[in-house]
Amino acid sequence: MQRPLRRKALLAALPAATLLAGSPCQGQPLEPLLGLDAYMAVPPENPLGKERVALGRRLFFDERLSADRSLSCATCHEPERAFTDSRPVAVGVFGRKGARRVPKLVNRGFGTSFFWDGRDETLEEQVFKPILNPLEMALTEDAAVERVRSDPGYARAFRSAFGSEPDRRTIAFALASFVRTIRSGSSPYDRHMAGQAGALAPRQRSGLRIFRGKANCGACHVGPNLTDEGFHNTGVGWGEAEADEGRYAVTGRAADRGAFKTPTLREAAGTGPYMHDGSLATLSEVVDFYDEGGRPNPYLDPEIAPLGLTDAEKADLLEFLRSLSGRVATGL
Amino acid sequence: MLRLSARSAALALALCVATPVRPDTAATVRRIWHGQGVNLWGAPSPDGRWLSFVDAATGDLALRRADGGSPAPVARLTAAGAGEFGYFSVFDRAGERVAFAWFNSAGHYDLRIAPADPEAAGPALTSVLFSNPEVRFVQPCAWSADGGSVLALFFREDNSSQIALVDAETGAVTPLRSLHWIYPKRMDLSPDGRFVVYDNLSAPDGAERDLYLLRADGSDERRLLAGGANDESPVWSHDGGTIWFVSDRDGSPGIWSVEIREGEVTAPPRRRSTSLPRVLLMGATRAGGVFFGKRAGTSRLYAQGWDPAAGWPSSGPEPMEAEAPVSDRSLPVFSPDGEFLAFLARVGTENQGRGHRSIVLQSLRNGASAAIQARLTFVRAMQFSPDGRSLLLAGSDRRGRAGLFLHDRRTERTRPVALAGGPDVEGIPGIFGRSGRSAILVLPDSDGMAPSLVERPLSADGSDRRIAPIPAGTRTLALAASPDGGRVAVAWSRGETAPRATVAVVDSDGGPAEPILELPGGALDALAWAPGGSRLLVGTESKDGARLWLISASGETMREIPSRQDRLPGIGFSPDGKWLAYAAGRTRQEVWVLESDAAPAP
Repeated sequence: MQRPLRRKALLAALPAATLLAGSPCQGQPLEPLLGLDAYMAVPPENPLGKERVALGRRLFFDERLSADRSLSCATCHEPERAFTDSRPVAVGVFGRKGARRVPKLVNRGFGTSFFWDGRDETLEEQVFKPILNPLEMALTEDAAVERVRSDPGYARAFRSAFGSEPDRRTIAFALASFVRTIRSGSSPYDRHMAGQAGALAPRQRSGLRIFRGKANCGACHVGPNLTDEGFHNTGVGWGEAEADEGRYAVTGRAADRGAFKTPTLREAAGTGPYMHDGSLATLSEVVDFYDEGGRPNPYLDPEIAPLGLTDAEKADLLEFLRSLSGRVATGL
Repeated sequence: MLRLSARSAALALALCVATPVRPDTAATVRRIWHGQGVNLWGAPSPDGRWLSFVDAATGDLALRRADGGSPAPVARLTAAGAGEFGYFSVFDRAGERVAFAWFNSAGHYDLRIAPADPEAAGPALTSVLFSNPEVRFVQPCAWSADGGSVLALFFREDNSSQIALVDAETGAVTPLRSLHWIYPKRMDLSPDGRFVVYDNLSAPDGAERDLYLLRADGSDERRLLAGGANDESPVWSHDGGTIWFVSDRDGSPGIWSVEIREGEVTAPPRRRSTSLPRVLLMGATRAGGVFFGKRAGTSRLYAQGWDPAAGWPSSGPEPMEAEAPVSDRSLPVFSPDGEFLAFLARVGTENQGRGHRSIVLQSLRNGASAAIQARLTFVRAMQFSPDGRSLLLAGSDRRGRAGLFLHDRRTERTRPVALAGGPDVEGIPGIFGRSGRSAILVLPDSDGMAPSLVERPLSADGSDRRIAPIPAGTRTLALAASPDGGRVAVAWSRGETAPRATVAVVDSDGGPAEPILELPGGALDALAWAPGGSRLLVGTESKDGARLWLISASGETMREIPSRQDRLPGIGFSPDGKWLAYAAGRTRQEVWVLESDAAPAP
């Protein structure tokens, strides 16, 4: 027993700052939400802090970050819709249409790759790109940085948060910090998983059994965030004139042709349309799509097969999906 | 067809024995426990005097002396009811309490605590700390220094695993880190409670593991050591300055250590043991000892000549030649053209008997071998399709799902044919239908539906065809199709405490399952049709050894055939009916302690 006690005494003698210094990622903790992990990967060079998050929030809602000053990130990532919108595909400045659906941002801090095709590995890489995309916010990097720099309030806030003037790196860091705090948890499903009896209604419990069993949804929608962060070809969009090759464009592997990232199912209810191209208007259509075995194609994921669900099973599955809506929190 | 040689035994043995490697510090190892009933699910007490273990006879958690005292179990901590049993356990750092996993009467594991005082221990003093049906399995791994929380690994009903802290008073759970379908083999908490060390796959589709250091408040995680090796099974020393682990970083598996301070590695890892091919660490003592479990022995493939005309073996079992550098071979299956033999083999180090098993395809002409990448973690049975292009595999996949899977050898894709929807890793036995375009399997009980023998199309078209009802409350053990595909033999067991196995024969076109054999004990472990299709070969296993029986398809005659008593589950005939293949061998478990000169004094 003597040696551990000596060790504890040594640790007690170290200043608190020393204990924290070992973890460059360590910043201010997020508010716990039932069902979510305590651990969220944060790059050591961009620790979570109130100033960075507040700055990111301000940038997220700032319409000056679009070419015609008409759109902010929040225009498409609407807070009241789990940070997505209601249109099938993204619509940018001057009404320019993109090819893919605006992704929900809830719990992206737990993500391991970003965009529907996963081409970026960190939020810091990803968040600036919509500002530059001609179909979205359509600014140049210089113009975006200049618009932020020209605001004295921003300049002060960046100096305080980063010790430097705004630039592409710090703007991306601030936006990424805010996006990390956008989380969904504490849903009826989370209470059920925590062992609370009665958290799910009987039909929702039945739907959960179907979700994990006959419908095989759990093959991809797994874990606390209900996604494997993997890429799968379900046949959505396959066979259309201008086929979106999805993950294949990133990896060049034939098996990734037409594969897209598994989205979280948190806040699924009421946040349609669905799928990467927004082609299915309702959750009911999504369930029907999978029940029929997706859309056959040479690269269809082997997990996708006709399910033979009854109408009652489909109804229960939809009831369960509604239990995945909980509390959407932002900020520290 | 099969190349058998007198040298093959020596060759196989040579391939399984690693090159001796010397540790770079002086260390001694001492055997703590060997012989009957050894299991590796326990841990040493901090003073090294006691070892927790599961009494195989009763399922109870118990303590036994580990310091050379009385070798007999001295204290039962639990009183298992029917179907209940203990599993992994760990002492708190004061050595006063044991946290342990318990398979309860509700059919899932919970987390319990018992006093660790052998004088005062008793079933009445155990308490349930955490129980949640959505957490199918819980493995306690370490206590915090103040005894206020237990570091545990959860396996949830959604087939994900989770590292969590459980409050030792209230049972409240703080989930730290979810790991989807891949789970650590072992993890530990630093004595100051600030860090969790665990092993996990280096890459999602890889086989090698790395050690990771996670802050216990979830605020940071990092890889502890550079990759390029398989590092696993970490144990933190009581003084906090060393992490012990199992690694093959110099090419041969053994026990290693790395010095650590404030979460940072302060010196390169050092080998601390000679080569130990199958080892897992169980815990450290205050005196600096490290308890570890060792599995010794291996299993090999045997071929026995068969005279189809006589319907009887033409020779005794002989070991098959072993070109592939793998050990623990089992479950041999011939390809339909007789050119290849597929079998399971162990690759890498210990994993509680699961995982790290590969399917090896070996040419019977030239001995060349290749791995089949089926991406399953457990395989209980396999069968080639009639065209040899696919395999039906009963077992569990990397997503934690048990069932029957179809592996396409050309695309290397594996997909489920049926999922069990439960925790039984052995999955659902199944065989190809006559055309090879369907699978015949028993769909288990679900939602009040009794099990059925069905034929399921392997394409997207069509629906299940019910062949025969199977009695409710039974568990399917094996299926076998007669050589002409006209009949299916199905074996099932019934009952948990005193199971009985039944073998029945069914017409493939439909009809009742006609029982031809009842076996008390439920220990049927092999089923195959003998060439000609008039008799069945049935394997049984008991404490007296394994036996093979030849039974007429009507069940009227039954005769034992000579075989190895250490035969393992599964048998297969060659397509020409001239060879019978099976695996045989025994592994034994032992508990050892490594005491290093470099370790601190008590």
